[in-house]
Amino acid sequence: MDVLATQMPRFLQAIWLTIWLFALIATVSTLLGLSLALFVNGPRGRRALSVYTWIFRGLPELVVLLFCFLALPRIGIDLGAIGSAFLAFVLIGTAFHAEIFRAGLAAIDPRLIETSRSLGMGRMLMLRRVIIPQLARISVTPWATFLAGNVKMLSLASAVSVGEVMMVTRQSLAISNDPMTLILFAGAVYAAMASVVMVAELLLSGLMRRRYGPINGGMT
Amino acid sequence: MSATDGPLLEVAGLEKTLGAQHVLRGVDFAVNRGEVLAIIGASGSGKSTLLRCLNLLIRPDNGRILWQGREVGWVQNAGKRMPARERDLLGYRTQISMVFQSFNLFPHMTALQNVMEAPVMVMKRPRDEVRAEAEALLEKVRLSHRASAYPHQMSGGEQQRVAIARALAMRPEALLFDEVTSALDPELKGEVLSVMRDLASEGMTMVSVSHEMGFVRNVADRVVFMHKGRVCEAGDPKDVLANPSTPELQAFVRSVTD
Ligand SMILES: Nc1ncnc2c1ncn2[C@@H]1O[C@H](COP(=O)(O)OP(=O)(O)OP(=O)(O)O)[C@@H](O)[C@H]1O
Ligand SMILES: [Mg+2]
Repeated sequence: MDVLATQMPRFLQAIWLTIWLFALIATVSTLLGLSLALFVNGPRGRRALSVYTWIFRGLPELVVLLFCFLALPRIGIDLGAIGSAFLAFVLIGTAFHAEIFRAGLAAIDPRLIETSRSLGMGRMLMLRRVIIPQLARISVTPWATFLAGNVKMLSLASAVSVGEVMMVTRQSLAISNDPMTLILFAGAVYAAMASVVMVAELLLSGLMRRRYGPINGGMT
Repeated sequence: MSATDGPLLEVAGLEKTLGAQHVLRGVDFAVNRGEVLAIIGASGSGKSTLLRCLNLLIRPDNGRILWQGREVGWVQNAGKRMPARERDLLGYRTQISMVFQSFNLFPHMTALQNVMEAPVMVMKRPRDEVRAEAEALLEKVRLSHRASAYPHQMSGGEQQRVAIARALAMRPEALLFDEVTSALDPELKGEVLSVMRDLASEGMTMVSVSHEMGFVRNVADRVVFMHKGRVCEAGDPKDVLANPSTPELQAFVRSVTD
């Protein structure tokens, strides 16, 4: 217990770092993934996107992370620990989000698109007024599910010496004889952060279901 | 010919192939201002495809669509006839608006928001003015009390009447109806049909694909019978339905009255 108390200031710092790094990665990869899903058109673009998402969904996160941290400096791109972790998780996250939103777009009822056109909507207006709201409704659950898992994935960043929660935990373990407390504490921190995302998703999707009804308005 | 004489909408030699199917094989007819034209025909005869061509949701492969005497969907570019760009069709679509079989209300908007959407966002009219007009339209379709309901909270008949109000909110010159009552229970059909009857008596130009023979007989000024992508018979519904001259229409009339 002592070690937890003495290390608490470092833990708090690490928790704060983990939270903002997660928020930043989540935001950037969501926006990038959404843009790719929405704006990459045409057979060649689509194929290139598929190759990208296939690679980054398939590779182990640690491989991507080490590549960014250790290999990129060899070709003159040294982003530092946090920069490498950011790049690696954005590359991975964007791939997942692009697929999540692509699937969501495919699930939008084409009759709503046709109706929008019949009302004289152009592409951008339709995107803003119909497609994005429908996509939010359809994709919120898979999107949040991926993000909740992503919180845990951040613990891997300790491997490249990012001072997040797992990093501090490992350092504290080295000077402590109470691994049980430390490990349970670290676990609780990640679980709590993931839970925030899960609970937010539950509330959000519940709200949308109550207000807007079933996905696609239950059209038959 | 000035824009006010002659038919409001005229199609000539309309052809469309979808996939491997030659769905429309040369369709000709005209609709005058204030007229109610009913389109009937067996399933697969190309009625929906025809309606989609009329407001250019899909582009015919061949033939001409004249709107107030002017061709739409094509432009003359350096002496060549070129398909018009999608964004040049948007204005036309707001003048000839469509009501669908499955209502297709935007699920994330209330009834009132659905009705206000196109006038505010597409036509950029002032929100306050549009709101007043949208409320009046909801009253016209007898749904004032449902203005703040979302589509999933409404019955099919209510949703379809909102969809009609939404189409009217663009102040269109003509309305297209694609089997707008066939997804509804019998007791809900009546409320939608009565709204359509009101519109007809106010002089709205309407093209309606319908299997409601009562509506066709009593409300339509003219009926067009489609068969295999062509107009097989056309005329006054009372005559045409009572004395079909082609065996195809005779068979169709028998099939819908049984
Ligand atoms: N996108 C498409 N690709 C290929 N074939 C199509 C497509 N859409 C329609 N068809 C075919 O075109 C034919 C005419 O379809 P359409 O929907 O216009 O018929 P309809 O007269 O409206 O029939 P219904 O009364 O069943 O609504 C049908 O045989 C249909 O299978
Ligand atoms: Mg049809």
